[in-house]
Amino acid sequence: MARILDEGMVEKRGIGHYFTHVGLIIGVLVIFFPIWLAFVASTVTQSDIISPPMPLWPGDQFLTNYSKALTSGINAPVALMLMNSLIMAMGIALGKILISLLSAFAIVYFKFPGRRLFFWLIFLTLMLPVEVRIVPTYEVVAGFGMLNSYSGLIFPLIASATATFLFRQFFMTVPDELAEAARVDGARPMRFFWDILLPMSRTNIAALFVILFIYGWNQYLWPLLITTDPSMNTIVMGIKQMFPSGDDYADWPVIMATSILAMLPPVIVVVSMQRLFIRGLVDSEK
Amino acid sequence: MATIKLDNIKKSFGKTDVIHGVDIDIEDGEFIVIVGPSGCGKSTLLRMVAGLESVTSGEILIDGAQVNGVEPMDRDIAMVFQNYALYPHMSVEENMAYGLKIAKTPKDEITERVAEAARMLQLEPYLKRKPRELSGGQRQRVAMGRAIVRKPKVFLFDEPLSNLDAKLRVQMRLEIKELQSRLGITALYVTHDQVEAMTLADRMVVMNGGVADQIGAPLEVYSNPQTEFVAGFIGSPATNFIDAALVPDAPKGASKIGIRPEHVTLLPSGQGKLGGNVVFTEALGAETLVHLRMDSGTETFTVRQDGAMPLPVAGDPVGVDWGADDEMAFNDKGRRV
Repeated sequence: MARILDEGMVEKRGIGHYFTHVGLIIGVLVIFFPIWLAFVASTVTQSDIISPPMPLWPGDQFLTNYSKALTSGINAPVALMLMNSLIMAMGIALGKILISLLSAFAIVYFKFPGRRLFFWLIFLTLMLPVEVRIVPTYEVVAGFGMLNSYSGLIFPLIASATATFLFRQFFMTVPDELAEAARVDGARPMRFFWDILLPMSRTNIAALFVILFIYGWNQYLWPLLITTDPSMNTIVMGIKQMFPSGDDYADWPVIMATSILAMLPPVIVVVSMQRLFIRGLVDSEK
Repeated sequence: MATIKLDNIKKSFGKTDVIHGVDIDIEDGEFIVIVGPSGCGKSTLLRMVAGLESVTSGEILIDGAQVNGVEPMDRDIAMVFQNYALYPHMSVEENMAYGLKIAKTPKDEITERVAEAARMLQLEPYLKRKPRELSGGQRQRVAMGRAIVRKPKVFLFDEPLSNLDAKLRVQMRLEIKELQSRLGITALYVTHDQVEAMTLADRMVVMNGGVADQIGAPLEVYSNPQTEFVAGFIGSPATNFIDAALVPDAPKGASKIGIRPEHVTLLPSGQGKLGGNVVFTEALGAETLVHLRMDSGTETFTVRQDGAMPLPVAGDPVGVDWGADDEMAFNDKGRRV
């Protein structure tokens, strides 16, 4: 079995095989090196960083730098910014999933006037980049008094044409007989949605959650616009805010520690959801 | 346990009429098979009885009550779908229990009914499995089980066996028939397979182009078809049709004569009612099918004879004969004369 797989899946044997691996390893090193440097910089003192040559191995300041970052940071404690980011990213990811599931359900399973029109309107918004609508959106959010609030961070980003489209495509592959069987079994539409459609979409939901969580986590422009209060800063924009303006000196070890901390949640989400993801791909349930 | 009455049922999709007025009276406990070629409207008819499709005009009565606007769940029916439509994320047990769960049946009763259905269908070892871990025949049984546990008034089957292999189909056919007669539940069964129709039906409905051409017991339909379509559709190999002008002593008003392959005897050339040449033969063991081209033109003609008879040689001229009683005469509208 293993032999067959090896021969089937890897066409090149011998030398070519090793070259492929060497190429891949070099690629990984190139990508990983800056992250390694950031990690090293977050474990040494400020003077170690600014006096060349830059150290390549971790120092002994790990606890000092990270606890300083987490508890006090520069403008706001990093722990607080992490929490803000987490709330925003979760809010965006879950909200987007919920709304797009429901709208895709409506578009696919119900006949109502203007159904196609609504779908194409949603589809059309895919073509508008965020920057085009950011000023009017700001006006609206400011008008509702949602500046410097979680709702202001989350709601404007919650509608998602992409996710709606994705779920629509998935729902259309679900055989009609399933909906009919549920109808004969006595399930009303929302019951069908919760009992059958939702569990069937769970691998799609997991995949989308990963993508949307990272999308939410990495939001930069929007939080920058609407949060002026440091206690509402999110981590990604917070890193930029830590950079000194004018003659202040940059506390590089703390900034680097913050960067490393900012990277962790998306990595955790990807790694932990990957299992669900792959399982979903392997045993498809359609 | 119920009677079903279809009263002048019509259905159009937009401007296309697909069913042109069908009347059927189904008695309590009867097994009715609707048979017809693809696109004849048989599935649409079934789906209207199920309530999955609206009725354009006419009335559907279940147990004397009009159900035209009633939701499927309130019609007290159970349906078995062609592709089974099992809920993929639920175990066999959950699949069967789902309808009862929605109806808020007490837990003990659900367990009991599911266990009973599982015993009947020999599904007991598989109750905890997911549908994807089952074979086609087992999935088919689960779909049946889902219908049985509900104890409905009416079973509806939409080509339930067409996704199974030939051997399994025969076996499931017997099981369905046995189960239905044991439970005594009125059943409406749609198929395009005439063998299923012949073997399962108490009465069969032969549909053609949105019209019920003939309703009757299978053997009655076979031996006494009312239209040319029914004569050609029911029976395999199909009935031979010959221009009435070529047949000596054809009844008045007939434009075509139908004669079943098993009623024809091969004779030496020059004898019998008509003459032709052997095109090829299919020896099936117990029987032999002899395909002829008639002298009158390009019409093909099939003769079914006992496998023990000598095999004719392709190209040989032969004569054919049949008894006058076996002739089925049809007029130019395809109706029986």
